[in-house]
Amino acid sequence: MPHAPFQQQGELARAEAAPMTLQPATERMALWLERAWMSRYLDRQLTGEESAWFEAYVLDKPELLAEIDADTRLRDTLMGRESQTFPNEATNSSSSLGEVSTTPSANRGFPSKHTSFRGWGPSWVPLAASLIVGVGVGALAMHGKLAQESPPTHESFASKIPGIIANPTRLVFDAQRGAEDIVQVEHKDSSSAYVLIEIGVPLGVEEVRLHIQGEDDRKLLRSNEGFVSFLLPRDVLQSKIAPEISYSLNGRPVTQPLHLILREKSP
Amino acid sequence: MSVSLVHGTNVEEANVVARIAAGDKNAEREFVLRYQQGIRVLVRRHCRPGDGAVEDLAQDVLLRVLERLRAGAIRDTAALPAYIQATIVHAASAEYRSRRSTAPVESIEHIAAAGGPTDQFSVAQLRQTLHALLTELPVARDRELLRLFYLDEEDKEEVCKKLGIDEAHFHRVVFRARERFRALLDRAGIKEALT
Repeated sequence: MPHAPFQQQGELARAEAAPMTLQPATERMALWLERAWMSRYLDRQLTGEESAWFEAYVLDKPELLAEIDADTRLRDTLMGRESQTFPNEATNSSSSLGEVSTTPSANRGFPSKHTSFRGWGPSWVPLAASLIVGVGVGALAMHGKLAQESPPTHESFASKIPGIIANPTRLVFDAQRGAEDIVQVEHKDSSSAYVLIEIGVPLGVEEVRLHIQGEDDRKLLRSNEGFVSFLLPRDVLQSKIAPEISYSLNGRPVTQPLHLILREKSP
Repeated sequence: MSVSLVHGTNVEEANVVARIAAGDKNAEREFVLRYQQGIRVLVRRHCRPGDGAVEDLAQDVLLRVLERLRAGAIRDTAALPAYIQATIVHAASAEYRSRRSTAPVESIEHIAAAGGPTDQFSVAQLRQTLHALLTELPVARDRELLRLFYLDEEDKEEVCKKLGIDEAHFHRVVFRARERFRALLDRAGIKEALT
């Protein structure tokens, strides 16, 4: 979705003509919902009407404005960078990028911004863009490294692993609501040697890690649907020490135990 | 995603609107304190990169809304944020329309390069920071991802499709870039958006 500054001229008149209908005070959106809106806004996945609504919503919320401003400045800096080549571009771009088109699209939002403003800004701006990308990639490299951590080596189960595990017990937690207890159980009586644990985590979490006593910490990656997941040997369900997950959300560290107790449902 | 197009308001805000209409200067100050940062951020978002007119446009928007409040033209307090947002969009588009008809491109570029928030960077400090971190080399595909998304304004799905990546990868790259850029701005002393 391109920027849509030209679509809303009628809003001024509509707002002025709005009838005198004071709305009752409303609570601010829940954090997770606010994050969902922000994510879609920054990913340009809102309609023009939704974007306008969200921009009005954030107008007096400094922390949300800071996020939007960072994104805007990132965009601006990259645009300033466009007129020059990235480091190593000359040597590896053709082979690395293959057939990907890099031609700016025309007639979107401010179409001339891709051409009219090339070359603006001080000379260090391109450097900043390189850094930004570099740091992002560095983070990815970190992800890659951590993703290659050795698989679990729980000896009591190493010899029992079948090739296919059908219908494993699945336990679902909801960290978004701070729920430490299981919110959903499937296939409770499965004979699977492993239990699948899935935890809904808030949008924007970073550095999600699993801590289990006696084991190395594991880094968990959030899926598109907002879950981190892992398999645990079934005997962990008998353990009295709850595993924990920790993560950082908006710079704030959060640690949450996971009570793996399969309670009987009330009749 | 369905939306309600009317924002919640409160008695305090309703009072400010009424007080401004009644000529209360303190209420005007309260209004400015509450909305000036948001107006500046959103004006920048609707302007071209590094446009030196951002500050002027933000002031224009504030003044325009204030004038309407003084005149008692904005009666629906709940619609005030939407009114401000629409005024921002209108002001930005009007600015660029007027430039198209009156000014050559060269003069716009001159304006863009002449000033703007980026001038507030401490260049030396930033260079030092960058130098220390430049050992982290970029990867072509991730550069391309940011380029397609921010420069070509491709949709997320299009970017992922073109580069053959999943959305999780997209989010990691873009999210990290945003976060690191925000940290970079903070480190360079750019606190504008937070004040």
